[in-house]
Amino acid sequence: MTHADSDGFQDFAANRAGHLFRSACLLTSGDTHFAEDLVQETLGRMYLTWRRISAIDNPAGYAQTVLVRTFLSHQRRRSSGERPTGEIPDAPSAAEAAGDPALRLALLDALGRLPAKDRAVVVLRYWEDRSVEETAEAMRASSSAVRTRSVRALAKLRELLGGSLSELIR
Amino acid sequence: MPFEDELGAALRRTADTFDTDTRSLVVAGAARGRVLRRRRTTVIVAGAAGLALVGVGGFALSGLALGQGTKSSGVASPVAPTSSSRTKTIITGDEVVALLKKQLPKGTFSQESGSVLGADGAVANLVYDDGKGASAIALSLSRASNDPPTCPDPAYAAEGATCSVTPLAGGGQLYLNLGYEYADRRVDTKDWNAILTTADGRRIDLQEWNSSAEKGEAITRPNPPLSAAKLKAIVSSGVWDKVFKGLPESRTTATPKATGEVSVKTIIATFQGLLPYGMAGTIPAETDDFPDLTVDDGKGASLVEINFDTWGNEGYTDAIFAGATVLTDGTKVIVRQGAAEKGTAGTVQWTVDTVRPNGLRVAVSELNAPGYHDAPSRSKPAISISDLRAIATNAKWAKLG
Repeated sequence: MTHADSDGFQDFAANRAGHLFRSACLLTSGDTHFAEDLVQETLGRMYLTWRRISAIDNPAGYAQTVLVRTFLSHQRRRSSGERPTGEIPDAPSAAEAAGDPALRLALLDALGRLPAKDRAVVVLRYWEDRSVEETAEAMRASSSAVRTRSVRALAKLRELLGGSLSELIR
Repeated sequence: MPFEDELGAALRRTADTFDTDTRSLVVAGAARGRVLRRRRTTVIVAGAAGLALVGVGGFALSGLALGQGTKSSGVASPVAPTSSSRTKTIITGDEVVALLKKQLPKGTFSQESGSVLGADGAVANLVYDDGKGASAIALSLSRASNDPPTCPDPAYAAEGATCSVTPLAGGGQLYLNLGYEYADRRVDTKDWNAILTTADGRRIDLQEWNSSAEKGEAITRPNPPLSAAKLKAIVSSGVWDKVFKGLPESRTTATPKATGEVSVKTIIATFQGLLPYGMAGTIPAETDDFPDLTVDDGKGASLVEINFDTWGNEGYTDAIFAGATVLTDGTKVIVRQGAAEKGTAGTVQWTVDTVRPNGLRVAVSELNAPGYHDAPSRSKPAISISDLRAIATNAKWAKLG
């Protein structure tokens, strides 16, 4: 890639890395190492095809899509015996300590109990605010599958977090 | 507040608590991109009098890279694999850069970056000036390399480039290519590359340019600073053992089926099986990243490229496939006919580009010439458009890998 391309990629990546990382942490239900891997892989793929991607309308949205697909692809490779990550979140950082530890743990744990695809739907629809169709496109699934997963995931999260969610948000 | 809204707020509050060193993620991401780029090559098949298969696109995540950026706290932190309680000291990107610098003769360094790409390997990049002009240097170490490089067909190499492959005692080989960044030498940036591959799959790849960047910068000296002998000495050095020993273990213990990593042989075989009646290809003894496949029907050589890519085309292909025909199975097909994207005047290129619903991209492209730098040998490419379309859309591609 040319110098100009490289600068463009650097700027883009610097702008989006934080958001991608936060997204990835939700997807991995708190496993920050895995989240870092996912972001690196995502940025790597963006780098690989940067010249073509930089011209599209919404490279940030595309990066998010790649992140989710990378996450799901990795899930397919994991040995079925492994429990989804997020058993023990890392020691809290300053940001974490300033936030609400009880909410954080409860939510991460609840996310961890969802199947990977349901978690992906939750992150895309309720964290990224994507529509059902946009979510379906990102996950290469049908709209009806996304709706089914949304309903199921919300029910499960409600069951796990219950009324405490509103208390926790304050 | 409806539950969804509460959930959204809770997700945002939780997500905000996660902070990271974005700079090292960016560096590691770019490094990963360079590794991915090296792995991906294109298959070029020349139909009619000459079928030359040049490479294969398509790569898989071989277990996610456990990346560590250049930020180093001085002590490598131990990483515990999920299936074992053993901990080991992991090498850092900074340490790989330091090892590289030690191999180079006295000089100044800038734009250093190094990254450990998990179990896969490590990369280091820097700009080196021995006092006679700045040179970009790129080092890549990988642990599980399956395709030892071979020299490109001289027909496609730049004029003046030299390339050799020397087998080594113990089953490895040394590849040495003193060439140019661009085969058509549109700029005189030289790209000299030594790659040592061992019988156990290790690959040490050292590249240098006579410019401070691979592309886009003026040349700073007539030749890159390290001689062929010096390149050979560096890649053969035992110092890299330290890096290989210091890589983290592979995260997944289960070996997945080769998801997406399709061999060149398979691509060639599949393509051969789909060729129209009367065209066939013979594969030479060496198949590698850039193998040759030749066919002769006596009517003039036609270079055909196959791009088989399982991962590089997510989402953004929407722009490329705008207005594409959609088949009943969801495959998008687009046909392009016109002047070749590069090459001598009068070269015509026909492309059938397809993407499957699962993201598999198969694009078949042909010229009416044996190569991009050769004069056209016939008025139209060898394979008819309808045959080309049939090849690209054939269901066999989706069954590979």
